[in-house]
Amino acid sequence: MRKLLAVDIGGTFVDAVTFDPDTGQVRFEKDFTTPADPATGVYGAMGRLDLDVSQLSAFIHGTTLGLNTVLQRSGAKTGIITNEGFEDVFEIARFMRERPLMYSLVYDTPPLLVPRRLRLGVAGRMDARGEELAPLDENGVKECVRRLVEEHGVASIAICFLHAYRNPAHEERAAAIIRTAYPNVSVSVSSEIVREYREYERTATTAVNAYIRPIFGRYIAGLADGMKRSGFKGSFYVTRSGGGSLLAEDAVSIPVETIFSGPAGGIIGAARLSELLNRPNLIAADVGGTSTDACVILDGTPSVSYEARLERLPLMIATYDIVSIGAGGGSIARAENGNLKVGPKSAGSTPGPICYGRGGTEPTLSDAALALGYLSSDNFLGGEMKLLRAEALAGIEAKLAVPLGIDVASAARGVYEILVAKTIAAIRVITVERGLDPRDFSLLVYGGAGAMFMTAVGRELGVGEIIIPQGPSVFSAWGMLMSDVVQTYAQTMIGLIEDVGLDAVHREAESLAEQARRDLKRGGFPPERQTISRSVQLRYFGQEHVLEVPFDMQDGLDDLRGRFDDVHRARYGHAMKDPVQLVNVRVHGIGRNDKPELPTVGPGTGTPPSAGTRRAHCFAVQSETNFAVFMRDALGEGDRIAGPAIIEEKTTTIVLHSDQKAVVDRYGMIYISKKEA
Amino acid sequence: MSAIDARKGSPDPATVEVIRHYFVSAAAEMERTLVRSAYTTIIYEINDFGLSIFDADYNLLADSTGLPLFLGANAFALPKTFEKFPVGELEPGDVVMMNVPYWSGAHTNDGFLFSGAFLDGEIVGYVAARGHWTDMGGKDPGYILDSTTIHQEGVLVPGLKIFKRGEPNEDLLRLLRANSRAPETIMGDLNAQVAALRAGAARVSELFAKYGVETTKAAIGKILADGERQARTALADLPQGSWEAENWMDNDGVSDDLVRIHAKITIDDDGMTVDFSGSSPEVRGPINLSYGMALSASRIVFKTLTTPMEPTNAGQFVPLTVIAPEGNLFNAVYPAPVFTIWAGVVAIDTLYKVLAEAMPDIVPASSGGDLGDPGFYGKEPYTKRQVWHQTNAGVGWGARKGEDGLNTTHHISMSTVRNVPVEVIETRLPVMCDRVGMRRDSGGAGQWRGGLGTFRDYRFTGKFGALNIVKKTRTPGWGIAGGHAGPMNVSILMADTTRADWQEHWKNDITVYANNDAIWGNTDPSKVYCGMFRGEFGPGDVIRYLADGGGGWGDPLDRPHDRVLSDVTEGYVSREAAERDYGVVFIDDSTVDEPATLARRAALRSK
Repeated sequence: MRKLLAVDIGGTFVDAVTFDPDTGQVRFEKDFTTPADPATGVYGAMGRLDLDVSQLSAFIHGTTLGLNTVLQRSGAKTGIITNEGFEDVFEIARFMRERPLMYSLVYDTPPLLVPRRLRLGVAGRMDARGEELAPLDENGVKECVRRLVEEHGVASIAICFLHAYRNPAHEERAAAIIRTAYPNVSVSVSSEIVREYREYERTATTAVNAYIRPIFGRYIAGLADGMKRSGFKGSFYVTRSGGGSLLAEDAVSIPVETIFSGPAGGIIGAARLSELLNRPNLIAADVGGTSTDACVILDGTPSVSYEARLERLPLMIATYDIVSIGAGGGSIARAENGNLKVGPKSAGSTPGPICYGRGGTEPTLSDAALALGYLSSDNFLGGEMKLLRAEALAGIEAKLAVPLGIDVASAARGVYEILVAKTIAAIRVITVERGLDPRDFSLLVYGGAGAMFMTAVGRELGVGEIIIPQGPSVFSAWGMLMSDVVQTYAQTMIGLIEDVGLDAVHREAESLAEQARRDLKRGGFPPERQTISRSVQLRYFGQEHVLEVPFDMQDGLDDLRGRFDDVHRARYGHAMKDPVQLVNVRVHGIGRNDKPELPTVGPGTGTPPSAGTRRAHCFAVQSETNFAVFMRDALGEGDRIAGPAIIEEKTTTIVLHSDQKAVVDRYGMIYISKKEA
Repeated sequence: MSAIDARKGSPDPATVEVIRHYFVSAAAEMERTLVRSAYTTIIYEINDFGLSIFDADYNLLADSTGLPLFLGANAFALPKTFEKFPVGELEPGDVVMMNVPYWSGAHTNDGFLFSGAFLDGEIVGYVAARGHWTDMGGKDPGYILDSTTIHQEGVLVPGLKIFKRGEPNEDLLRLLRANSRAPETIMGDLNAQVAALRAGAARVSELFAKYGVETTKAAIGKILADGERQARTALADLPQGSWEAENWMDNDGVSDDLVRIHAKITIDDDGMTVDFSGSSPEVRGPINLSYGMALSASRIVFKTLTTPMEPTNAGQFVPLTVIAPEGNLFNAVYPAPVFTIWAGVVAIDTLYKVLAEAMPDIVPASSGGDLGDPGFYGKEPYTKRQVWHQTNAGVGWGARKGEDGLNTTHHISMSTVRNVPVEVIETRLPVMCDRVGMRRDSGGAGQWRGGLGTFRDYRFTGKFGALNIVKKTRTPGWGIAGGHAGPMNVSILMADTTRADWQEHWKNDITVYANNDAIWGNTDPSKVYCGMFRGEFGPGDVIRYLADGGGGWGDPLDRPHDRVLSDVTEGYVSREAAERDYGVVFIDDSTVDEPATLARRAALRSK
């Protein structure tokens, strides 16, 4: 029993994918998402795979349940217990308005997750060094929880005390009191989730965790139970927002860690491809119907951020450092005061682009792609769906070309150009602005709408090459199979690195590592399948923002200093002579799972025959020209194609402009690069 | 790229849109570079900076204003630098610094820096960065509250090259360091600003290289024309006429008299004119404004009315005229002191007060009116460096028709600013926060209630300096259409009376510029109710700051019972205030006495 199963719940579809390490076989199925009872869709997609569940060693599950629970305000009635006199920290927040609304006289107030009457304070206080200034009022805790539970019907409680990141004793004691008095009430403790300073951000993170925890816990327990009844005996994991997965039994206490796990599968897959294809530096771009999500993978590691936001709530959790651009197949174009505007509004799957014939009346990127000749009316979804070319052209004419006084081709081209510019600007945020040169990267493109669009982005961005994997539209689910178990541990330790001293940093890192090893062992990972990585967050003395640099136990202070100067110089163009200050020590514990190898394709002929030609617009020469059309299924290892060309497969169309060429490798991956002049 | 549409001889709409996005994203890139490498909370928490991109004719193409208050300030300063000072020819890598307030549109601590963006040796545009520098050697650390001449406000840099061809001008840097109480910190902030300029200049040069000078210039023309048209279209929907209002600042920091702000706004076919001529003449203390800041304050109000959601460019402000005669509070001339900037903050609310006459259904009632909360200055015990941490209280926003005011946010002049976390304050300063919260009953009563302000209690655990710049603690804000004002801002200083020499300490170490004991009926000598103050506090002393809420909109007696009930349940409004202002009578904390309420409301109405 070594098979793996991954099931990812998306907005429209549940993707299920299974891998048999003995045969190397990978199989996919899809079913519709069932928002009312998500487990139904999971069992539906699994059922289509016709699995022997008892043969599975692991079940990896990606769910956006936590996110949806917050967005729909369908979580548990939640209370907050905090220091007396600080009950309003959660509502006061940090004051500022979102930047796009800085000049707006119209307010925007999403309903509070925890209203004022459910936020209660108790006496007791720690200072910034973690020393107790006033003891915890234990009777106060009892009285607060009684009021919350018995008078207000609260089902979940967040505990967040000042400076608990330095000394969690009061939080731990309060949690114990609540658990004893009300064993059925869910308790979330800030110091168990975040060990970093900033009380509002920590409170918000803990409150969101508390809010989603009961519903998340019930769902996971139900699913675990259902799987068990079907004979499942393996390990059950849930995908994390910042990479890897958590044991389901851990995820139910910190569900906030799963909240942005939607795009995670694709990035995990991209990191795995980075290793298998020996492409350490990748820009992973997932182009869907409504948005494009891009993330940088540097030296095989996806970049991670610790500053997530949900609505106006900051979350101190690790998330993949993704830029999301409102550019997808369904992005709507419009004429506004003589200007062409595209997105961020999307037609989604219903009513969808005009060419889908499902009621859409607004021209979209897909309609422009049809007008420019990239999509074929007859070969969309392998011919299962006919695209309405005449209607798309008429829509572009009426909504864009006529109001702007230009022709249809120019309007369609303009839609592309604008989205290309927006996408490039966003990718610059995660590359150039971080001191990374796109020319040192390969652009990995997946998601259904990716390959017809991102080849135009890639040529302007100047990346070394563009890679189109096999089955780009199910790449994210495939990626989940590559998931390792990852747990992150952090401790705030503020001080000049010289003052803190290497010994203390080592001691703290080792204690966190020990915790990681313990947790991994509990999850069934023997030492030979554990990886422990360490990093420190540093800044120049006087700065606020930190940069994260890796370290290992052999490093001296000079190594750390030098590495920090290098990273700072690379990102901001200068290094300072100031002393360097430590802020956080972080440890990542990784439990490595078996992973599928890539399926291979047979050898090609080198120069595959084309299946015809099509007139389409070429961005290299800025005119319409003849594109040779190829079928991806017919391509083999070593086949080379010169642009202008279009490569079609069931769910994707790949466009090569006339200054681009492609080559196929033994895995059927297509590499697109610039033709030599 | 077929950027030029042959039939029209102008760039096609897609190219214009691409170029517009490019400028906006370049400004955002400058900001991220600045914020992430900056050295002071003033930059990275308070957002006290402004970044802009200009064409070669000084037209603002895009900006990233950390603070709304800096909207367009760089656009004023850039041409003034060339006009007033012999800057000389710019070369790639040169960075010019200018901080003479009358021409920079701010105060000496705002370093205004700019560079050229070059293509083939020609200037195609400019990039500018202004940021608050911790200390420029003025008469007092932190903030200067009572200067009587510009020459007490710090070293003046009259448009000198601080970098030449990418290399720092060490002579000038030595001069700046020697004049500052925080030499290391200002070098860190300088470098962060230069990093931002470098990023911006590179992006602008790249854009001109890619599309060519002619096409890019044509696109810029279209971008600016669009901006003007958007503003004029919005303006056409507003009523035409002429309206005026007055407002008061506590004092000028030197004498103790209220200072009058008066504004007249005219909207007609030509656009909108803001006229400050009726305001007080220049005063002795540093609340005077340079004309550039008066312009910025007016631009904020204009932008919120016309193009609030659009990225900023020069075209949007073409329909706006701002009048302030030389020697007026809003157009100070050398050597008038201009340090505090606070007249700009109060002026913005005054302009909304004027507009409330014209369009009461669109604009909000008064905000909390000002920015308070102590700023802390001194040698940080932890870093042993001179610091200036401003904390900035959250005020309530005024209610609008159909909408309660936002609670605990910043004045719109600083709407992007964040507060400083308690855990950060307690880590860095000898100060503990004993309580923070929302100030009950601070939202002005109304059918739509004003937002609530905040309060914080800061208790000193060691000796440290603190001051408050707040200038609106003596006259209330206003409601609209029968709404009430909030209860006003107030600082309460409380001496540690267990200390034997507290009376002496209180007398010698603390300067109160706006004593409000009489307003609040305080007779306890160990407490001071006040507005602006400065002092060296000691262990056990407490500063409580209570920020004002926003004004209400409409008659409070028209507020539905259930909304008043909810306000009481959530603790926003006390039962006493509910009864007094709203006429809603309670049986207990969660039950309205309906018959008594009807009777009380009828009685109040007949008054």
